[in-house]
Amino acid sequence: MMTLMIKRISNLALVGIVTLGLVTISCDKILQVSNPNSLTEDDVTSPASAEGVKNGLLNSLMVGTGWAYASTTTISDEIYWTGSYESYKTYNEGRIAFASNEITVAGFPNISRARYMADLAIANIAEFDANNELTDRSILAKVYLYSALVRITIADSYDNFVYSNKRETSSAIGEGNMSQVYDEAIDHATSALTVAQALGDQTLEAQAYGLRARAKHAKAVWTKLNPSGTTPADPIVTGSGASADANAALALMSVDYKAKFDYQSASLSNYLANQVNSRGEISLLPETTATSDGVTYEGIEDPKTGNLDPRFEDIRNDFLDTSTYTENYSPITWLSWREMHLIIAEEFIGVDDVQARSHMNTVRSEDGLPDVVIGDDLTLFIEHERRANLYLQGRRLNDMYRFGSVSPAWLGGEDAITTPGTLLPIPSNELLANPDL
Amino acid sequence: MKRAIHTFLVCFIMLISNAVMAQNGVLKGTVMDMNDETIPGVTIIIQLEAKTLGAITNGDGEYTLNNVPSGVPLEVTARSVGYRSETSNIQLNAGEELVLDFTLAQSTLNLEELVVTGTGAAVERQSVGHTISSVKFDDVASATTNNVQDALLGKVSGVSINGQSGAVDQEPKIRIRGTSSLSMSNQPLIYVDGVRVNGNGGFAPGVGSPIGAPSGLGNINFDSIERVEILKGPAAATLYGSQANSGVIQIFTKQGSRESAPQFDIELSNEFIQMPNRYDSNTGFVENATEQQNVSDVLGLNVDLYEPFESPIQLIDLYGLGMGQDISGSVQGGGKGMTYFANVRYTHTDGPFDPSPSVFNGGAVGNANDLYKKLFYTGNLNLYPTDDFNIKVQTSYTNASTSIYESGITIYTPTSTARYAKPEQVGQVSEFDTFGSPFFATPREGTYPEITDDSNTGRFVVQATYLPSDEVSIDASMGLDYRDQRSRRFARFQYNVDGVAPTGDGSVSIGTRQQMVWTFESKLNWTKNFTEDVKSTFVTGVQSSKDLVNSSSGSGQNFSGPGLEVLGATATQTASSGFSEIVNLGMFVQEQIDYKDFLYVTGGLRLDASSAFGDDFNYAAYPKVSVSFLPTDAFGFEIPSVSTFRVRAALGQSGQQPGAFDRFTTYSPVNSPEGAGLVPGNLGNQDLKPEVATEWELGFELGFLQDRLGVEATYWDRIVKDALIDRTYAPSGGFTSPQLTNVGELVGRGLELSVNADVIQKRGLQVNVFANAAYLYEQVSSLGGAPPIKIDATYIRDRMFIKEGYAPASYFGTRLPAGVEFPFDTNQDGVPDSQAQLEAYFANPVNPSSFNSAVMVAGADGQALTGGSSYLDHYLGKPTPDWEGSFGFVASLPKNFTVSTRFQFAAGNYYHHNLTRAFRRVNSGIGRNFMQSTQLEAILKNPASTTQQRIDAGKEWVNEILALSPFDGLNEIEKADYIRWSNLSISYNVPKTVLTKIGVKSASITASGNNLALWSKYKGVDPLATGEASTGRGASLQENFGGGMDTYGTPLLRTYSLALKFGF
Repeated sequence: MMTLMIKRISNLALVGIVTLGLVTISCDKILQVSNPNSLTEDDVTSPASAEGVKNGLLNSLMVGTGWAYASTTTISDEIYWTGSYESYKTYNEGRIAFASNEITVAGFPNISRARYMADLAIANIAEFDANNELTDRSILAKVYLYSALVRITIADSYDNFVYSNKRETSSAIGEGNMSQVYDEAIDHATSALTVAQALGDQTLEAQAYGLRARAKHAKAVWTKLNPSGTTPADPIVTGSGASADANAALALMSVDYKAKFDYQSASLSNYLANQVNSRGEISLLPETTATSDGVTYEGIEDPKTGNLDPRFEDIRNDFLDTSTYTENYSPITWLSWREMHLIIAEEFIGVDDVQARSHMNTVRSEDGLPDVVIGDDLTLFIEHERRANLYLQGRRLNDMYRFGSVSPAWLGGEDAITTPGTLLPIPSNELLANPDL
Repeated sequence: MKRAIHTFLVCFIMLISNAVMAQNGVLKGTVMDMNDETIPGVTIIIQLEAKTLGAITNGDGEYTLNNVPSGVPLEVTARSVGYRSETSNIQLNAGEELVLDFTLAQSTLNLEELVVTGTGAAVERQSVGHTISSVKFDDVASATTNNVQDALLGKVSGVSINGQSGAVDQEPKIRIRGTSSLSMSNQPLIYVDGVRVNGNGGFAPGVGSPIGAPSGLGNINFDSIERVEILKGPAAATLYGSQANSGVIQIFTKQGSRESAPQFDIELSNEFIQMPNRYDSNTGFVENATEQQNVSDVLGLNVDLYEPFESPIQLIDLYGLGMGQDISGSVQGGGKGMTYFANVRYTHTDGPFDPSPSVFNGGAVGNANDLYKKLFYTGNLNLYPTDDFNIKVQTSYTNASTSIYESGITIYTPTSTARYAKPEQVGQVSEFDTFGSPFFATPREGTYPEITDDSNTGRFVVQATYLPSDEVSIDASMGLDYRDQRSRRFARFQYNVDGVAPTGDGSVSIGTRQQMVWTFESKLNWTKNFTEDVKSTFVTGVQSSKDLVNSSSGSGQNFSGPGLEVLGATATQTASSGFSEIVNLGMFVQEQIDYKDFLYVTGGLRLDASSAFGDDFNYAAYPKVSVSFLPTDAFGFEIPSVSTFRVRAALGQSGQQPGAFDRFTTYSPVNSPEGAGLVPGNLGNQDLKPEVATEWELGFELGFLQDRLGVEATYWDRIVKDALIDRTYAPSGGFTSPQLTNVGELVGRGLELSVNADVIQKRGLQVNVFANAAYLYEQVSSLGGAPPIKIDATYIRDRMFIKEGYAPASYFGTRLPAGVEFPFDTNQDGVPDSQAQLEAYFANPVNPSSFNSAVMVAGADGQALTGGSSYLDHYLGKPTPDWEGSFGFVASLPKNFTVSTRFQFAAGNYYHHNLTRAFRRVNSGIGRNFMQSTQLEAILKNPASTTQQRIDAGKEWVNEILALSPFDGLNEIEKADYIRWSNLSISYNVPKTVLTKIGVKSASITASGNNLALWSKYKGVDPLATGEASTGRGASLQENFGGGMDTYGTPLLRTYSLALKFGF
């Protein structure tokens, strides 16, 4: 009797397991699973995602800038190699066109992502705006601003570049056509300006003017350096139209205004800061002197005082201030009142030296430095002022090329010496994966 | 697919409703070996159509079979792995109790053993046309083994198990028949007692050390394992469907045996663990008086300027003798209607990492260590309410606690910092920096960060089998395999005690993962004798699984003060979480025809649907067919001395499915100063489908002299179509993460040979010698027009590529031009410098760092390129050996001693990327610190050197030392052939006369040594060492092939063990 009962219970258990299992697996919904980890393509075409797309662009821009500057500042005399990556060593020695340089390879996808995000953001958000679906038009202005900045960074850093779209590859822009990227930056800054003015947002307006000034000035520098291979006889930029924008920007900026990338945000680190402060792969110029791998580096001194330049010192110390920023989040300045003055000053050199000196001295007086006076070499001083005030802002390498300055680490047979003007190449990971190259 | 399953369900449930019963006498006996020793664990079987009456001998070799049918002739067979099966014919009268003893001779082939994995039902191995390996762990070497991966080392031809590092418990890299998938997992599926389990280990997300990643297999209680069956590839694993490309390992746990008294087993073992000293000594030379003084003060060495010296402080000084203890208790037995097995085991292992302040000039050291604590429980209960029905409940639980020091590719670890230390720089940053590590971190600082992992894993399985008639059996099982895990990396406040390490105010990263794998399987087995000669075995069933993973991680940097360990106490924090769900659904059907027990033909089909396939993809179908044929039995002839001869062939398919969300284009969440944002995530591919592997194999078994000599050979050939590749599309497209794409074709073929011979079989002396070898050829035959794919797209030093026409992950890099004695071109005119030019260049001291713009490398055609050029596309070798295998012997000696030993080897076109040595050779910041490099640099920089001495040193530097960017691959890829003395074990079984006096049934003591010696052409620490080991995180190119790079890897550990076993 007991056995029979156990058997019945057991049979019921078996049938129960089989039935439960089979009913479960035959359910229509069983193969449908959810993905709460990310958004789909449809989601980003919704107006509700405009803010998220803009912020994603800003994230990509900040990350991409950190990578681009890690390359170009190490090639320049702003930073020197102290660690394990020979890729920084080859930069340091002036080998730039090597398409398999690890940092070039790793940096390109980051700035490319920023470019893709810029185009996606402009396409989507401009359409939302056209359809009156955009609740906050400052989003559109910022998207144009960030896109302009992406393009300035690309054109300042790369000899050649590619705009592809997902799997649809494109051919390269071409070394001779890279000034077009500055033109795009100028266009986008103009679009930002239009929206900012319509909104009456003076901060955005100042930034739009400032970025357009930067783009115009940088394009003029590019024109002096291309085709690459020689140091221009006259390094001074004039007549670019940058001064007017810089003046307009200054009219809207407070004294010593700086627009910075604030990396102090979760999951958003500054690669350049990481390499300097955390890994120690590369080091900022010393306050006095330092030697690495047989090369001696010196801090930037003011030509007038012969002392360490306080502008360089401030930027350096701020970047190294790990107690404020920890090691990965040092800020990068992308627009400043100082740069606007220096753009204007440069355009006045040889045209109106009084004005040129005046704008330089306005900047120098902020830190109590003696004035530049009649008889001073304004070319030397404009290079120095830019070097000291725009330290770690990605301008130095092109300035070195046009002013004929060389890094103590550059080797005679390497690109920086043999072909002045050489910037980052399209890297091997893009060459490998893009059939149009 | 769904309609097919519904139809199937109706038939299935109808069949369940039929029930038939039967009854009768008792059969009992004892099974002995040729030495008159009882054999536990022997299966005694009476086959009645589909129904099998079975029992397993207990610890005394005794068995009892109840309810044996009376009045009919019956065949009773005794089978055990390692013995030749014996069959007796009996006929019982009603109510009779018959004693039937067996004596089994050792066998080297075991074709009659029962196997179940991939066969649908328990069948004799000889009836299966594909390869299936069965391994039992009752050998001497296994007596001191702690986990299944170590126990399988070298046991099965074509199964490669790579420990990857000097961590005590490391996620192993297991490869069966090489690479079966480029971007999906190559780890085999793991089943335990018919239920799928998560065999992967690793840390929880957010804690990312590849070295020391805890092993998933290591959490399966080794003391509960009865045996393991291994399916080697698609031809065998078809019934497992869409994830079985890489084979299947099924673990069977101990179940106890019916009608046997409780048997208790106690095992105590001690293990001593040693780090083999295969590290190049750190060397250096001083260039100034400050360095000279520091070397004198810190190292006590008085050296001249430019005089190469060897530091008295070396990496090996951070290691001592590790120790481990293992205590385990089991009970097993059974009554008339049940069997049971239970085990509780605890292991405590303190590995060899043991830095002491004395190594650091008295400086305090951190708490990082290699400490492992594991508590295992296994409980199995099988109920047999009637002869027609049984239900099994199986439970297991493992609590594992791991604490591991950092090592591997990360630059801050004690094992990397100690190897890039430069002895001439000692004392520069701190009096306690005895290694000379002013970059990144000092080895002393490396002793502070601790990585810990605490996990609770377990399994709950309910299985039921019902036999409605003598011809039909139905079984069903439901299982849950779960893991609850928390990992942490912690560096305390102000851990940078020498002022070098970053984030000196400390950091903490915490990751958690909850994973549940639900499985359901049900099948129907119908056996029918159509005629006396033709027997049919039909199996059909359904299988489903659901894998749910919830994970979260957070990290923070810079504690506000000492003693803090929580995320909230840090200055900057990050957080993330993830969720993944994969559902698989499959059904299978198989028919096997047995003709006169000498010809077996099997055909089968598996249909699979998966949540990963996408809406447009209905199901994948994987067919199989196999033939097994015994010619001597078929044609009634005998070949002199040949006792067994079987030929077999199999053809089958299986697949690998993409990940749960791989087909979607997605945008991932990120932060920005202006709020949350989105960036490109997964590029997406709506056409994604499973890759399909088709494999055929052909083989034979030959047994000579009553199977005292067994030879087994299998040739296999596999093609993987629609191969899924983690393809990196042009980054200019904005989506920078690799995207799985069906673009490739991967071919592989191989030969597996094994020879096993009982060369001496005398009472008191038996000697068995064995050898196995597996040949592997594999090639990426097509990438469908896609360009070569780099394994690590951005890490330029990683020189492995997926390239058409080459083995997966072959190395490509720089070579020097052949025939150019000194390829040096300072004036970049494309012509090697003349002696006069060299004398001009080397007239003064020179830093070899400045050579880069002068070195001439070989171009595409091997020609010398102008100095300062680069070319990185020369083929430099492949990371897998042509041949791999093992050999050794087992000898049962007089006086109850047993000795066994095993050697493993790998050879033939086999290379390993010695990036560690490349750094140590050439990198001025963190290298040039072993003797050859030090000597050459000293000559080049020494003002006292002659010009010719510098020229000679420069030539040697360029030809033998130069490496790293922009010459990546040059002098870095080294031959890796090796022979390893992997095990020597000696065991003593206490004689029965003594046992009787002390009241125990069995007692043994076993001593063994593992990884005792290594002979290799490889100049690094170990050809299996890597800094980028498998992390257990599933599928990616890096996970599959990262192990090809030795980046500050540590050698496999050497262990010595002593185990005591008692049974009573």
